[in-house]
Amino acid sequence: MNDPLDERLASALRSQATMTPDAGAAHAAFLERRRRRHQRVIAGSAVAAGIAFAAGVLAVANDHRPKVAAVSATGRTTQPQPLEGTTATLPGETTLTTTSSVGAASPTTVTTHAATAPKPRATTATPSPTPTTAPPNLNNDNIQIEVVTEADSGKTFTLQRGKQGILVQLSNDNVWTEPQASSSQVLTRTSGSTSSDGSAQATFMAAGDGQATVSADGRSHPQPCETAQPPCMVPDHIVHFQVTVNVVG
Amino acid sequence: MAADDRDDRIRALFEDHYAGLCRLAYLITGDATQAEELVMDAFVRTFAGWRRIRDLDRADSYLRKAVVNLSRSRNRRRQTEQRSTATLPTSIAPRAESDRDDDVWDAVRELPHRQRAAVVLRYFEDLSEADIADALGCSVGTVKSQLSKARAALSRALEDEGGQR
Repeated sequence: MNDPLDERLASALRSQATMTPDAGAAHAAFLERRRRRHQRVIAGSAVAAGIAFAAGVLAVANDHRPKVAAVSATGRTTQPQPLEGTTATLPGETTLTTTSSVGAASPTTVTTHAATAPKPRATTATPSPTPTTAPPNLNNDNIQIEVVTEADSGKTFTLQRGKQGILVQLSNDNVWTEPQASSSQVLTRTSGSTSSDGSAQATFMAAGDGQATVSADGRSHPQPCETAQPPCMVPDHIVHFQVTVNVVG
Repeated sequence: MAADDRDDRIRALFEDHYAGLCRLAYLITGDATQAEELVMDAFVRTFAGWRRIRDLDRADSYLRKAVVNLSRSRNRRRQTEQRSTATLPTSIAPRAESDRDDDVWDAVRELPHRQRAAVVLRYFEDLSEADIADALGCSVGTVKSQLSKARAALSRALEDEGGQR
């Protein structure tokens, strides 16, 4: 620093830097701040852990959530079912027509039960999956009902005779025929209905050992001119729903 | 390093460097109160990640760098506040009565933050250009440039001051 400016700068800065802070007091303040910071970190970690736990619980709950949302979309789960052989109009101008009721369970009971049944975990793998469902209330608290939708088409289910049943819920994406079982000895239908919006449902109880299929046919909603005489077009598509049910003792 | 050793080391760092860092911060910021707060922040931030600092012998270097960075952040914030309250008096603390006539100090305070920091690190801390570059987080070439501009500005300011007298 031979330059006079350099020497002036160094001198001026040194003359200004006359602070004599208390390092001991500062260290004590530092320890206090560090302690508070540590507490905040711990508190933040606890909150984060709580949020993660809650998210996990929600995820699990969502995974096990009953198919009430899909069923509710058809507007049927919260509505009383009409008596057999009658028709009823629900909000949204949905018309239900019941066609039969075999066995002790009433349609209303079946519908209520469907709202409490969990999403099926069925797969097409062999051996056939055994449904794990929430307890239903089909006049018998020991009976479990498996809810099946068109998304499960092609799958195989295994039911316990006298202890389990199956509720087929087909959405109004298509116009469905009423689901039918290939063997009433194996699967006894306790209710069934179709709606004017195209959806259909039916409930079957595992009545006897053996294998049966439950099937229904769906087609696209008709275009306006399709109902004219003569019809101007054919359905866009026709789909077939079928699940296989093994009933064991 | 055990917790007790770590705390002893931090205590030693306070005893050895706290006052010097406060002076450094004061020369950069021009505010004694802000300088102490700034150095405390530097200690807290540096030693919150103590386990991540491998070269403990360079703790003073980390602290100096933290002080410079924090002073830069606060300077930006203060500039923003001053722009938004342009009609209000500046928040810079008044100088001590005995320093009012120090032309050099006045001129240094008028320098932009980066040049001022470079000047303080060079002429007060007596750091090399490489160390200044490390503290400022820039290249040695930038340090040379900043120091050159600062010296030119100071020369002009001091000539003006001399001419006015």
